[in-house]
Amino acid sequence: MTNPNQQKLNDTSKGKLRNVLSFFVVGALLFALVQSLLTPVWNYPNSEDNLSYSYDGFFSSEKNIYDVLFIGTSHVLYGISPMEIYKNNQLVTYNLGTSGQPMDATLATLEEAFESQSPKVVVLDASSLFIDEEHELDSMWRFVMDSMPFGMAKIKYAHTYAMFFAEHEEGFDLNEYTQRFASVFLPIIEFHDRYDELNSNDIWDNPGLKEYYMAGYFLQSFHESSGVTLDEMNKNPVKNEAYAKVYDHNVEVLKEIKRLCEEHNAQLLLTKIPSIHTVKWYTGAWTLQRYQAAKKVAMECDITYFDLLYDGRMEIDVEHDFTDGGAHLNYLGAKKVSKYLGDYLFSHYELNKKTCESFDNHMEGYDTLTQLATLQLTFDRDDYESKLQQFETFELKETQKGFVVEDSATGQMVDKVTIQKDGTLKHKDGLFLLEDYWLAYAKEKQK
Amino acid sequence: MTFVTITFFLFLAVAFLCYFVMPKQHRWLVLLAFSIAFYLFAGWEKFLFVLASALIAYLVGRKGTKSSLVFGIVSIVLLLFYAKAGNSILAAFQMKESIIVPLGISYYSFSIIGYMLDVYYKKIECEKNFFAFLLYMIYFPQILEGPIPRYKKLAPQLMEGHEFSYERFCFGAQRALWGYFKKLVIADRIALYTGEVFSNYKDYSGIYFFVAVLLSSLQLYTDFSGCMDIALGVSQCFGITLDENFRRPFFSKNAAEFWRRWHITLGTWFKDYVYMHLAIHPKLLKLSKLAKDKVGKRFGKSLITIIPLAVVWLLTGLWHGTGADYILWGCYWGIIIILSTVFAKEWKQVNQFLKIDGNSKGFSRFQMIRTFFVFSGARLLTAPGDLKVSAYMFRHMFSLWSFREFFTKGALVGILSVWDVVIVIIGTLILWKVDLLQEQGVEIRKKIGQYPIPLRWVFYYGLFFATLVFGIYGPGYQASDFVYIQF
Repeated sequence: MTNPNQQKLNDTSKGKLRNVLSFFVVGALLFALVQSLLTPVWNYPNSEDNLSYSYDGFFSSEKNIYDVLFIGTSHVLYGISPMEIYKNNQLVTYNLGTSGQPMDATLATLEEAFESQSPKVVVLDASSLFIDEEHELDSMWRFVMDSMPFGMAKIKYAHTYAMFFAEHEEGFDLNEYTQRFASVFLPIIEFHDRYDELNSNDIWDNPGLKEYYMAGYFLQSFHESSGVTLDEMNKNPVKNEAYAKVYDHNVEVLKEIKRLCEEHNAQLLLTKIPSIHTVKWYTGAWTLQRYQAAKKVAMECDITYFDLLYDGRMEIDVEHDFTDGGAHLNYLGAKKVSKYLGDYLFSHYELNKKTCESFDNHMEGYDTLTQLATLQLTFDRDDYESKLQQFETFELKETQKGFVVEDSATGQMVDKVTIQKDGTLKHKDGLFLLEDYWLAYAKEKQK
Repeated sequence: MTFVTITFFLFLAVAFLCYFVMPKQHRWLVLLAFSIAFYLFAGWEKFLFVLASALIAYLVGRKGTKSSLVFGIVSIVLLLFYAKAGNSILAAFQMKESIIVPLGISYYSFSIIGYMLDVYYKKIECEKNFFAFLLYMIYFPQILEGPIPRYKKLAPQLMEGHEFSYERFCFGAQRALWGYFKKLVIADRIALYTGEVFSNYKDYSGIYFFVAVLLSSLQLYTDFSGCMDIALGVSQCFGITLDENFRRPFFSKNAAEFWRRWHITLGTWFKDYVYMHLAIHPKLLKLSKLAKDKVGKRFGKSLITIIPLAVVWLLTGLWHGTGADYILWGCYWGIIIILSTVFAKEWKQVNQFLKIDGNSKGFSRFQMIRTFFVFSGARLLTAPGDLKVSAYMFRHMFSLWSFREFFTKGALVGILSVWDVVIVIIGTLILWKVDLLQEQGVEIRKKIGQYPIPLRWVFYYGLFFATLVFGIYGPGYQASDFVYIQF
């Protein structure tokens, strides 16, 4: 028979254990809730903040669907539209570019990508070769990492990321390593201070996302001319040796990427999306010096290199094809590059035309969005008015300095234009108007 | 490794596990192993210093002679001087090298000097086991910022091998969590403002300086007492009770009381090992008698107070740092405390003349605020890190006051966001309420423990998530060290 005191003690212990367990279970649930609220969801269609959405889109794609993967820095993100390539060449491709993507991130992304896809060609933008350690920011690593599904590739990438920030000249910083590594799997460590920037997108799905489909491409309808031509950019070679230096670590990773591609029977193509800028203002500008340095590395590593500017001599309009003064392409430039690169891939690699249901399903939305982008990138008044005819519900209203265009169906402004002294059109706030228009379109579609 | 790193949490989790799994008689070995590991994180070279100091103090204790005591104290003081002044001396000779400064040298040096004196004066038995002595010296929760332990109280606890106690563990964890709240939410957020103003002082003036100095007082309190809460909380989880180092210092009504409530273990150390020895020293008594005869009774009597206090405050300044700022800081406190002690009678008469009721609530509040400002005056001497900057700030503190700029583009947008200001205010109000309740004798953790479970959990989760979300930490932030680590 059990002693009553002993029985009471056992009951108390059991009760205590139950309380402790409940405390931790409730705590864990609250923790998960707070963490998911504070971790950014990048819930915005067509903005640089849709990065993880586009990555989510990739990792949740049907298996073995993509024949070509484009990967690299923001030049890729802004410069290649898989939907455009699909329209032109019927090739099914995906754009995995992110801003300032370090080579290690490229390698990790590809390792993960090969788990679910078997691309025949991987196209890597050569600007990654010149990203030096000093200019690698935390966000450049995290754009990719935060969207990767949990797995060995992510753990390996988290380790590389943590090591990158923990190794200093003074030695290894264990605290930094632990903090960075842990923050990959417990994102609240990184994002806990977002409490002051939360909005409805952090809680509810953005309605525009469900219809949005760009296959990783970031559509830019803003225009800012490059200040220089290709020849002018190359007129005065850059004296700073670091400018055209390919870092040893990047070469090592490039070799690793090549080995990985070979292992998965994919061919690696090193290319360069055009960037014509004044080097003084934009060190990523693609001069002959960088071209030669990249080509040399490609030869040493036995990798095919095809530079769209210097090898391909493709026509880029420095006046109209750039979005930010020559650094990145806008939709006009991206359309040209996608056409050019699509044709090149189709003619140089054994790629088959095929149909893809998700691409087909979203083509109407893509066309709607790109039509408006094209309108926002039209600089001649007559040309503009003729293009405006495509939109039944758009109405042009004159203003003191130019005109605005409104969608009478929704009452939203879709373009705001001033007429310059030489008669050309200057558009304002294109990207924001494009997003608003898209949201209205998506809502209508969902009805 | 400081207390505010993930590495420390992992370290602590393994330490707890090993401690409570180990048979009772060997548990002290776990503490020793983890204390050595904790120290080695700071660098093995530093550990050699601590080992040498431990060996000296241990052998002096075993020998117990006057000459060995003198040798021991001189050696430890020289090592302490080397750590405090070494870099300044090298800089004076324009040498670029820097010296190795052992972690927590100011704290462990004082604890082992105290040990040697206690053994010599036969207040305690000497420690026969060197490793037990080493543990007393470098016990990891207290090595960073103290409290400065007394051998008699701490050593037996370390060797005891405590059973796991659920309640004690919970209370310890709660106290540590409160310490993290103070450090990460309040102190490190204020540090964003004070760091900016003190570093770029030429860009600011007037109200910026005034607010920076006042906030630096609050920053130091939340930083140091936060660290103490973590150290004492962690120790409590092991079953070891460390000495309290704070007793709501901002409720003090005068400077002397303030120092009985602030960094208590340092104050009692100086009282026991310096002040008391000097105050009853025959030579001082002789000098006092001589002064009584030659100058007057009151002056002679006062000398017994003035000289030991002057020495104690000069040494207290030197303990914090050998730079001119800390020497001046020591003099500042010394003069205030000496004047208030020696002229206590006159102060009372002034109050009577002004018809001030010394016991009224209003006057008490005035005294507390006055003490806070006296403390902030001392902060102005040391917080900027250079006396020239302190002087510049003092000169410009009373000019160019622009509230409009301060509350719009200056403090709020330029340095701290509106959210930061709100968090600091709310955090400080919570801190004030907790201190007030403790001052009134309420044992807060016990009181919360008596609430029904849902309400109790609201407190625990609230504190945890407030620290988790509003704390200043994570990649991109340079985790700021605890301020008192430098001493």
